[in-house]
Amino acid sequence: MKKKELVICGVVLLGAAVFSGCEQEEIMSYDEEYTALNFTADSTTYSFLDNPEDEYVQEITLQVMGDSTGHDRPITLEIIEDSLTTAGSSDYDMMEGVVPAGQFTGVQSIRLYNSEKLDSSRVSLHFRVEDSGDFKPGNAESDDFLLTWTNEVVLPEWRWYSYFFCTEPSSTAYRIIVELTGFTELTRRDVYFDVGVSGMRALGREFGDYIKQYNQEHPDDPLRHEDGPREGELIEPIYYTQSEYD
Amino acid sequence: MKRESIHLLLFLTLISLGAVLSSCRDDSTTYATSEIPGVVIDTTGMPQLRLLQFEELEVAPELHTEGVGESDLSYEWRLYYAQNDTLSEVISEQRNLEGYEVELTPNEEDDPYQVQYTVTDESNGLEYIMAWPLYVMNSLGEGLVIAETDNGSDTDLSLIMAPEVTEDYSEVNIQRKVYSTINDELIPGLVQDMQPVNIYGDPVLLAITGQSVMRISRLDYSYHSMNEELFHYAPSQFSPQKLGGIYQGTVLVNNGDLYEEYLRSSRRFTAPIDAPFPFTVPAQVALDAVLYEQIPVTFYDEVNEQFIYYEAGEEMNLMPSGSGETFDPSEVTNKENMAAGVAVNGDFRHLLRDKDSGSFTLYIFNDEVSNYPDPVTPPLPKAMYDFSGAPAIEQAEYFVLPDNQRVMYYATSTTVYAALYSTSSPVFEERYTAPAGEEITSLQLYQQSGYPSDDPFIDTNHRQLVMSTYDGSEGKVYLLPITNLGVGNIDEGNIKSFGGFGRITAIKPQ
Repeated sequence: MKKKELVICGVVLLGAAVFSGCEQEEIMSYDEEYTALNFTADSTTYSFLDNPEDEYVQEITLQVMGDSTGHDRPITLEIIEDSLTTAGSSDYDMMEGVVPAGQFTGVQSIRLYNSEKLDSSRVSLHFRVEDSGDFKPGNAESDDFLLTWTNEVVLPEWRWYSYFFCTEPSSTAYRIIVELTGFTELTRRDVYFDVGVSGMRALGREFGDYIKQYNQEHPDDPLRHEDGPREGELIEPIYYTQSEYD
Repeated sequence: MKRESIHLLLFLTLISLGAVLSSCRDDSTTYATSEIPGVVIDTTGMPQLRLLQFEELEVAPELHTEGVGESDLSYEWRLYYAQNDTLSEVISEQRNLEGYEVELTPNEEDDPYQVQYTVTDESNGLEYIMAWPLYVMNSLGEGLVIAETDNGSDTDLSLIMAPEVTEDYSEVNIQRKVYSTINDELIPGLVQDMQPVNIYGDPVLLAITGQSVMRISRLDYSYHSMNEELFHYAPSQFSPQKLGGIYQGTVLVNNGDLYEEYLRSSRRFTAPIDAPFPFTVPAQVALDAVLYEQIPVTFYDEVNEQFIYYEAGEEMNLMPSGSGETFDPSEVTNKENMAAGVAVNGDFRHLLRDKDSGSFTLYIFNDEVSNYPDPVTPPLPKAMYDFSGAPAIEQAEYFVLPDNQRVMYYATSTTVYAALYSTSSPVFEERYTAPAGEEITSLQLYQQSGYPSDDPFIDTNHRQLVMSTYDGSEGKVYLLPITNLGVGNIDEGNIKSFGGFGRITAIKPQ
């Protein structure tokens, strides 16, 4: 009977091992209390350059990390009082922010005010999502936002402008270009698809003729770059009508 | 041998014999033992399916159906909205297609619709399919666009379609006042010139008045846009002088500037051609539309008294001066432009009138010579013809320089003359007098739209003059056939005329 006993022991031990080895762990499932909000960008700068009004409502988009719900959920932001926040209470108004029912994104609106000091300086607001009833702050990399506004010229990337208008940027050149062509920024798509290279050269020529004409009419006060790498120098257009101005 | 072995051997032999005899049997299973009578759709001699929008499409294909019962056949006509596309619609289930009104929008020549005809033999399910491309032309087809005015200050557009000006067309179809019908208003100003072009795939008619450049759709003459909207760098002043075309380039002369643009890709005029010296472009520019011409435009600048040529893609240049030549271009001064043209051999021609003496001279330059990769040899002086002595030329208002003969037509308000200059002393002859009471208001050589690129051309291309007259209340269009090239006679017996218009201000083939 030795064998039989051994077998029974073995079976019992085996059974014990089997039943104690497999523990069922709860799969972590989504819990509403983990819902968070992330900003979709780090920052943005607004310029009152082409806005004749003295106020502007900036909209900031936030993305829900979690599920949508059947009711509207308000967004609450808190201002971070650090060195980045330079705007005073008279410079802005924090307005309503909401994630509408059934949506996964929401919009926070902030009314920005223009003032004289913004002609030569910028103010910023640094804020984050507040841990409120519906939302927690999102991922560390996207839970805060820097909003800057000014009335200075915010120069865009100059690369495409440098091929057709003038090689170095300045607020003076930029203002003229925007006034003549409406292009507050130039992308590769604008140049190659929408306008075309010869079309861009024509716009460059329009800019050049403007500069040449202005200088002809104001011989003592020709157009110079007011800032930028060529500050103080004459604006040299790449294209202009030679038969007129040479 | 043992008895069993013999039996075995016999048995095996019998088996193998049987196998041998049965292995080579004719396999007749692949023979077509069942004859199926076929349906043949015979398309020999069938013309292209081409019709105007809103016309009825009728196709009666010839079917050979011997051996097939008529009651066994079913038919299907299917219209595809693009060749090789899957979107389609069944338009008939009769043997012949008739009475189907084509409402499709007109298609481009290289992008037709498709009509597919399927005959099904129901007894065996076999389908016989044939497909044809379908071309829908807009009812504003090829023809002469007529700009006319009733009130003397605004213009309407009408269209003449006739065998002499519309290819493959046997009727006379005049559609009057199409512009005002579509747009509910007239074109402000008097249209002086027009040019059919293609802007980024859209068929367009450009028209100029004294103060505007307009873009009109050629599908239905609806207004599209004008002036600043047609330019990237808009001119400061809109006073257009001329519209024309060269190879892959629409030409516009505005306020003394020359624009040359391939609107099919640029969509708008960019900027005028420049030069390192001041210049003023006249309305009378000689345009060479042959493909790849290095110098497609020449003109005489009255303001700065210089002959200028334009090198494609480059800038303007002065014609080189040349003493010892037939004439020295730099010594041609104090002239005004009357006409300009290009000959089929590439010669450039400029008819100038002396501001003091009033005498007319025709200056002819040779075609440029391409020396690629070296610089091109510009047009050099070739000949000069003095037309003083030409009867009534001082009263002439219209000048025509046909490409294909050394004859210049000029017209006063009543008579058309020919100046023959194939010899050193030109000969002048009367060619045609307008009917009494009618005043000539325009004269041009008929050149089919698309010339010289889209050959073959209509028979009448360069073989008829288009003339308009006005008698105070009615405007008429005349087509004067030219016979005897080199002499330029008008075949008076075959003149076609179309009446019932207002005062005609411009005519252009589209």
